[in-house]
Amino acid sequence: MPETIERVPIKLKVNGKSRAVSVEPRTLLVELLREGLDLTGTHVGCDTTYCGACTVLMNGAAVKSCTIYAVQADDAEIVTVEGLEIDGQLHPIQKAFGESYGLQCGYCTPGLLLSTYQLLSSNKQPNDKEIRKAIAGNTCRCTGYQNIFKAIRLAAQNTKGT
Amino acid sequence: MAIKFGGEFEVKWKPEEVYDFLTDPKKFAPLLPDFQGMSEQDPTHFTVKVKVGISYIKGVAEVKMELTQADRPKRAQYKGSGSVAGGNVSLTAGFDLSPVANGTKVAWQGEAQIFGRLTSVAGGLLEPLGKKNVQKLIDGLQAAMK
Amino acid sequence: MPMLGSSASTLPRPKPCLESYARSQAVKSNRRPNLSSKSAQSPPCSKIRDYPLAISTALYQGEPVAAIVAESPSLAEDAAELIQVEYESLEPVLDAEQALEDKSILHQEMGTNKVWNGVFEYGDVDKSFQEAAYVVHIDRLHFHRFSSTPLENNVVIAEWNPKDDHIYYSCNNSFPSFAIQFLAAHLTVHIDRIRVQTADIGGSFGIKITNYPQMAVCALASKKSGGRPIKWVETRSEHMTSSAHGNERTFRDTRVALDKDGVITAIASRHIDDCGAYPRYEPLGCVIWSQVFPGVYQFKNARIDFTQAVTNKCPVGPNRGYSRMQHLWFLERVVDICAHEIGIPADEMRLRNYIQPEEFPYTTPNGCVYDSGNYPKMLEIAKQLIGWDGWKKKQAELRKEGRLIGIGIGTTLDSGTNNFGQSQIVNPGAPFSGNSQGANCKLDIYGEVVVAVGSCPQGQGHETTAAQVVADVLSISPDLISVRTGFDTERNVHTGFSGTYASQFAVSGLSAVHGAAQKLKTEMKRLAAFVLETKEDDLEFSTGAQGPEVRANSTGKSINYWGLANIVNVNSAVLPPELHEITLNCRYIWRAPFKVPDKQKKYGNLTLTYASQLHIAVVEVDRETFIPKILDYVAVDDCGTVINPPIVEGQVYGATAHGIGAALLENCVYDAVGNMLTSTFSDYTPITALNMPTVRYGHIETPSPHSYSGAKGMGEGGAAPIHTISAALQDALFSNGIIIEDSFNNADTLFRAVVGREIYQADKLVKLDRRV
Repeated sequence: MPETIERVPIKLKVNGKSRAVSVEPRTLLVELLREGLDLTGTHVGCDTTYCGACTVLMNGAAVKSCTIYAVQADDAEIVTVEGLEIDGQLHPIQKAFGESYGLQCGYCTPGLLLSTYQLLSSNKQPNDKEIRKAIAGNTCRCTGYQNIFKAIRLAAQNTKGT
Repeated sequence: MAIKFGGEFEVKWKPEEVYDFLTDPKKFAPLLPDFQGMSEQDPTHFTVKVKVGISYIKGVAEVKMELTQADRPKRAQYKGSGSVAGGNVSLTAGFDLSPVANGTKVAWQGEAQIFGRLTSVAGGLLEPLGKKNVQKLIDGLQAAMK
Repeated sequence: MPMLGSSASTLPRPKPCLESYARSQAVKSNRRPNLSSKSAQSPPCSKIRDYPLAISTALYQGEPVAAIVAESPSLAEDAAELIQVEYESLEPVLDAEQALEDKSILHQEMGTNKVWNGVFEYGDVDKSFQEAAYVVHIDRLHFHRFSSTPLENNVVIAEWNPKDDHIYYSCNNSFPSFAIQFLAAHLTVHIDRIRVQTADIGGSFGIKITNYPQMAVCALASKKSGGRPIKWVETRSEHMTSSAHGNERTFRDTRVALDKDGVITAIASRHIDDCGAYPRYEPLGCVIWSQVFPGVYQFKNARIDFTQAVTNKCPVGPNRGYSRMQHLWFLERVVDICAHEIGIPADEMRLRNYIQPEEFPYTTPNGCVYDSGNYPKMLEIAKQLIGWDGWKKKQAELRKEGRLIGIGIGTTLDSGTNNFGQSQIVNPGAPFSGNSQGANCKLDIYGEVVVAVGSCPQGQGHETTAAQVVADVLSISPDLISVRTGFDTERNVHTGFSGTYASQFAVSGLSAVHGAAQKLKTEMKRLAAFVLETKEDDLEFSTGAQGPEVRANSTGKSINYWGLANIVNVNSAVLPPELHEITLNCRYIWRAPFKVPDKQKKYGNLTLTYASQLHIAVVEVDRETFIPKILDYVAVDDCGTVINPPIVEGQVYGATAHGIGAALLENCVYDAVGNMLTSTFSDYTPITALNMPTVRYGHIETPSPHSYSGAKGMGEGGAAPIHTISAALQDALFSNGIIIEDSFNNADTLFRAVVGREIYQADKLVKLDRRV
């Protein structure tokens, strides 16, 4: 263990806002978001890239922020669940999850919202198989997924053409 | 999880010479793969440091060894235990020596028990890795006793 | 006081983080009272020394042996790497039956590995076997170890104020009123000095009931550090190896007596429960299963010899379906195996053995009162939903092609609101009985309706249903009710049983809320009658132009909630003395109508409501890979009167996913020396959207006569999918001479059974003694 740990300066855009921070090389993106930037909507569930509670968008792609170093996000554009709302209103995907009872404890929800966001940005009308595949990396322990499938179908309907 | 290993080889040395080599940690310990150093407490107790690494789990293991059986020139047995980040290991290793036509036959057998987080993270990798390292040690011994 | 549940950077000073790993001098606590459930335990098991950090012997992989306090988790991890622990390995005991041989003893102070033993015997078992037309022997069945693994791990923030010895906890424990009973004794502080607050909890499923050892370490670390807040965030591997697992159980030497029609007349069996290294919530599990002693079946004679043992594995906790699901799975296996041996179809076998609808309320052989139900009707609905006849035909056709298709039925019970008097069956001296829950309903100073409950919700929608109940009482919109979320000892609405566990909120929680709301309404009526100068029966609760109000029908005059609250809180000179007792701040404690069970006879009503579930699955075992695949799945639920349909449906789906995961994917595997091989999600593989089938849902309502609303608790689901999938696999493989002996089945076990012939062999496991 070195006596002092060298910090690396990085710049990134988070939810549309430019941030310049310095991080330890070993700092994970999720640690930076939660501890450094106070964006605690991004969760940690498993530490091993299985559960997807830490899913965020990095340059438009859904990634698991527990398996990405903060330094890898240098110059990247990150969207977390806090960045989904539009003008103080919940995003249509968030509304669909609420209306469909697509969450119970809510711990997995931020990750699922972002995986859904990514799915619907490239596929406006996903079929059931595509929905399942898109959220295969997001573990939910409460809902048994059934109402999440409903929520994603409803979100697809509500965001059609937007 | 337990890893068992064993085998035999022949060297040209006499059983007494082989025995003396195998029971002198100063001589054989440096042959351990990734040997880092050792300290001797008394003639039957010593501690060796070896570098270990499986995938991203890396560290230095400190293994305390004890010579538990010493029957010159027939049999020697070591017991050891140590720890490394994410796991602990305990092992026994024994050598049975018998004279053959032009030297000594060394029959060796051992068992290592590995405990801890290491096994669940890297369980599948441990056995082949352990066997590979044991083979390296045996190859080293054979080379040294040529 | 630290800010709640947020990251360190928001605090005026960084919050130190606690990494629980190994033993530290700082929190040496070996002179402190134990953490095991002393009140539920009797000697010798009450002699066990159970501390939050191991003292001289670590009994399972993952047992914390030291604690490190640092400014950040990564620093704590660096420090942990510097700790070298020298272990001397002892002979591990990983199987409960082997543990009972007492060759290697875990707790020297106990002197045995046996935690508890008792015989539950009712009716005339021997006579039933003498008169039986068939006797079926089943050598062994085994219910595996798994955990419902909430997605959020355990989290504790503790702050021990050195000035007044006040301990503040912000944490996600799901049964805080139970936890503080241990903590107060262990930390030697007055129980009123411990404040526990929970906010939104990321799932518990019972697993977070037993995180109080870690809560104790955090408090002691805070005390040691001069009162700084200490935060501990469990890692997933810590959670998998050292939080809690569900109980594992082995069923030996089962004998079943049946009459000539295949009606079960008696069961005799020996059950051995594995509670891991420390009996913490245990040995309560040794009696909890008897809430559903005969399951959904009519048999009156039974003898179950029940033993619990400690093993070198993670301690168990009350995981969703706690102790009952193991027993219900056993009964469903018994029913299916007997049906097959005698040659009766699985559906017909059940119809002949079910408790019939006209028999409710039904008293079981051990004195439990099943409130209501209609199992034949549920079977009929489930068969319709799945298309039973169609699948049977298809199955016959596909079998001709050699495909391994099975159709299985699982009927189960979700017993809710338990009578803690059952703890006296495992320990006659236990000071517990009954059940209770508290709630408070008030008009705050400006007239807002505010409700607080002693439950500890984790997504079950307590806030929604509590608001619904109060809104109904006051005839206003639920949107006008403010429900305090989470648990807080300082709201003073908890009893010693408050928390969220054992399928009871719909009964205990809502009954308490209902009682508090009624009390408030009564006070509001008295006050409004005085203000509006009319009689109470002239008053009507409604919503007017100035919000919710109470109106006098005779005069049309009304007073809104602000007006009522104003008089009591800040305008009290207008009140006559006889109305001074009105506070509009009404606390109500609901108590379940239980009696103390007969400890000797092990007889009495142990649970208030019995929700039921009936599932049917069609499962195919791939002939090449032996991967079991669910082709179709239906779940029919009866939880009495439904208060909120989407919430009930959500609980059914969630419990179904846990059951399917447990049946096919999730298994806590230990190797021969006690290493846990499934200590990450990547190894444990919780069920995902890809392997969760589409579940078709149906329901009936048989209102409970035991709750004010007719509702029954239904949060646990009774693990129906585990029974159902075992039954379907059994059906698929019976013709190959296979008995599904274990509750966990994956490609590996099925391959070893069908091809390897190593396990599950019917000729070795089952014998039929035909006497007709």
